Amino acid sequence: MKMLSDVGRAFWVVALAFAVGLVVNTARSNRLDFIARESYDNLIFQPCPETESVASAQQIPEAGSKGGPVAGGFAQGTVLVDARTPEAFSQGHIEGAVNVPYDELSGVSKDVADGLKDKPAVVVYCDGWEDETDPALRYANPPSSLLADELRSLGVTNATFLEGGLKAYVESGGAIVTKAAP
Amino acid sequence: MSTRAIRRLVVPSLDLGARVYLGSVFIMAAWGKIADPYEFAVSIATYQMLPDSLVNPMAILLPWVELIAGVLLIAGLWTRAQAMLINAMLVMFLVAIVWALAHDLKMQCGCFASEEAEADISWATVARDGAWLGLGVFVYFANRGRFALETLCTWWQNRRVGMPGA
Repeated sequence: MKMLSDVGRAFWVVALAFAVGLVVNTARSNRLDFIARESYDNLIFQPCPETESVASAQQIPEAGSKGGPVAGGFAQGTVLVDARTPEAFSQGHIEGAVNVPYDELSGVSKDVADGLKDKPAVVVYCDGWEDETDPALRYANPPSSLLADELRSLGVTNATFLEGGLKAYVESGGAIVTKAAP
Repeated sequence: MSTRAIRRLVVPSLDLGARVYLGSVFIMAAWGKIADPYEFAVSIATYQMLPDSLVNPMAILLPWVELIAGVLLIAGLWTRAQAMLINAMLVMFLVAIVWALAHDLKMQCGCFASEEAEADISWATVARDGAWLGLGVFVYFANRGRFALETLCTWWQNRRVGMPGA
């Protein structure tokens, strides 16, 4: 009997929470549609990529010549994709890289993926995984790996990500340039 | 210490401690989700357990249940009902995490706002939630209305109608 009355009270708390949640959600600027208009499937990525498709910074001994091809352990015609914001890109990037600002919630456009499909290799990089508040912490899924995974799902089968990102690249002796990409 | 003293002092004190701790955990967990409902919706969707049509309603409702239940648990209003709700949520979270682990999903649990600082879900996450569930069950069965607002309300009502003991 006591448990039944607890269930009844719990029900009222849930009803109150539902009412408050609806009112607050309606009033806020970043409100959520009650029913999602688009599927969340596009936002959910599997962990990426497999070990063999992770590029290491040491494999890029020097920045690629103008136009994109990268020397070192990569095939001729490898395209470097800088997944950071345009502001970060303009402050410094690997020479020859193309800027594809990536927001994991928005995804990447099909046109971009189509443009990369015929490349021998595509290497995506970001800042270097670190949490701003604590450099010791690393993202479980760095944005570059998410972008690489999404590109792979869109048919860019040679997409990989640079382990450790731009930070590891610089630490391994790689140079960066500050001019805008061609 | 006699059994009677344990019943009168130790158990209510432990109950209060468990209520404050568990309530605080749920309030903190709710805060980030309320601040960024979209982020929380994506976290829910990542578990791939709910159809898309239920993801947003869950993202809107659940943080407020957590917040209200947490506040009322600490205050001691309908305490056992709040403990029941919190236990039900913990069971739901445990099922979701075990399900994700069983499907080898490498993801963060989405339990708190500091998403980036959270490690991937693991059996340690299951153990943590299991410990919280243990606390919740303890509160449900041990709570006798000590250090609770509802007891104060009952005392006040009795006093108004002149009942003995008020």
